[in-house]
Order: sequence, then structure tokens, then C-alpha cells
Amino acid sequence: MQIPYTTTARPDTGVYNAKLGVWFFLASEVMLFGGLFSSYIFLRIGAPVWPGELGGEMYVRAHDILNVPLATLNTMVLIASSVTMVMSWASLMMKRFDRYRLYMGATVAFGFVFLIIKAFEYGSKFEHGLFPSESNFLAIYFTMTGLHALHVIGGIIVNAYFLGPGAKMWKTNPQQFTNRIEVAGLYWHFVDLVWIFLFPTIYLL
Amino acid sequence: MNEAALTDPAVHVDAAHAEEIKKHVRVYLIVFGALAVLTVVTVAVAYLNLPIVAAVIVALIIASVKAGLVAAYFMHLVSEKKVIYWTLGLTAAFLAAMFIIFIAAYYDQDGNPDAEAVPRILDVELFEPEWEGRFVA
Repeated sequence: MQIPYTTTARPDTGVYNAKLGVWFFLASEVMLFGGLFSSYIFLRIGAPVWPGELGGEMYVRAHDILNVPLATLNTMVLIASSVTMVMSWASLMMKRFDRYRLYMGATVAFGFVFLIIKAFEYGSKFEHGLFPSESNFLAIYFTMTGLHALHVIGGIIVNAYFLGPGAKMWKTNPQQFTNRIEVAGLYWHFVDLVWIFLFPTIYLL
Repeated sequence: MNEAALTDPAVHVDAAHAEEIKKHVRVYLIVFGALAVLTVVTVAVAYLNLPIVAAVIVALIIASVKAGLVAAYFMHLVSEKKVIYWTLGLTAAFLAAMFIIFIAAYYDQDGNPDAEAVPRILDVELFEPEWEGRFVA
């Protein structure tokens, strides 16, 4: 069966189906991360000191525990990956498949760089015995950044598919392929957007 | 451009379209610059050690501007269809409701976030918990 409205807009919604579907999915993601942000606020306003005591020392600012320079670098990496993602879509719109491959390759690479930096960050916490079970602060830090990292992994898998085997569609149905890259981009930008809020609230405040 | 391209209206449309996308690309690069600058500003402000309320307000304003730029330009929300705006409006309403419920629950319990604390809507005389030794394992 042919999936309807993959390239043309559905008359009643005015958009192709995949776009509305991905926006619905992102709406559910907003509630998922929103629930965690609510929990974070709840834990924080209930704590007399935040981040509080860790390893016998009292901390009053998160940036005394977390590695802000690494997180800042990761913020830049994700922002850059959002730019390359939107550029890969723009390249397809300009019928430049060669440039698409370049930009999409860069997006996937930036995703990996983000995860490698995150792994260093986690590794250094574990080395110092800072595990999620140590405090509410570490629990919410690992839960939120961990869930975000899982989303980055999901995005890398999708983008790598569209860079590799999924790219065959460019030859058979370029419009549908361009739309697929647009909605994959919506997801990737959302992941960037979550980090834009995670970075200051968890690391800097 | 060859002769066929000059006479074929489809090619004209394509060329105009490509020009339009090139304009978009310039905007994307400007947004990239703005996001990078705002990231540096957020970090710089954090090291000023402002009072916590001021720090939260400044950080959230900067994060909202950054998120707005990403949503508006990278996610194309500046020129989207009504159905997407309605979907997002509804999501925002539910998100706000969730935040309000959490905060209301906190204040309802006199600022004690413990799950066992008695909600104020109940008869406090009857349900007044004995805090002394309550959490000793």
C-alpha cells in the first residue's frame, strides 16, 4: 500500500503527513523532558543547599562539581551539528546531493564528538566516586543528561541511515527524501533545544 | 544558463527557488553566530555569581532566546502551518499545567516536598503527622 501524502500536503492539515507525525512525537517528548525538569525544580526548591554535600564537602554552586568548559564545548558542538543538519536539508533543496552528504556526514560526526566528550565527563565523575546514588543532585544530573545522550544516539542512528542506505531514495523519489531529512532535522534540532535548557539549569545555576 | 533554461518556465522557478534557499542559508549562519555568542554570554554570567534568583532569570531568558532562534529558523517555525502552531500551543498548555501542579503541590505542603506530608486541604488536626523520629529507618 502506498503511504499517502509523503510529498504533497494533506489538504486538511496543509502539511505532509510525516511532518505532522514528527511534531506530535516531539510534543510527547516535550512532556517527557518537561516531567523531568519539573522533578528537578521540585527537588531543588525542597533542598536546603544545592547541590549540597558530596564526599564530605558542601557545595553551593553546580559549576564547582561539574565540568563547565567541557559542557560549553559540547553546547558549541551541538549547535554546530544543528547548523550542518539544516544545511544538509538546504543542500537537497538546491539539488546538491554531494553537499548533502558532506553536511550530513558532519552532523553524524558532531553527534559522535558530543558523545565522546560526554563519556569523558561521566568517566571523570565515576573516577571520583560520584554516582547517581550519591545525592539528588547527581541522580537528576545523570538521569537528564543520560536521557538526552540516548536521544543523541537515536539521532545518530537515523542520520547515519539517511547518509548510508537510506540515501538511495534520492534517486527514486527526491522530494520524499528531502522531506525525510527535514523531519529528521526537526528531531535533531529538538535534541539541541533540550540541551540549550539543560546546560544552564544543570551546570551553571 | 543555456537557451532551453531561458525559455523553460520550470527552470526559472527552480532558479528563483534556489536563490530563496541561498537567502535561508545566510540566515542559518547568522543564527549560528548568535547562538555561539549567547552560549559564551550564559557561561560568563554564571561566573559573575549573581544572587540565585537573578541568575535563574538571566539564564532562562538567554536559553529562551536561543531556543526561540533554533525553533524559528532551524525548525522553520517562522513560516509554518496553523496545525503545527495549534499542536505546539496545546503542548505548551499541558507543559505549563504540569509545572503548575508540581509547584502547587510543593506550596500546598508548606514547602515540604516529602510525599508523606499531609496536603493542606485535609483536616490538619486529624492528619497532623508526628515528625519526630518519623524517618528513622
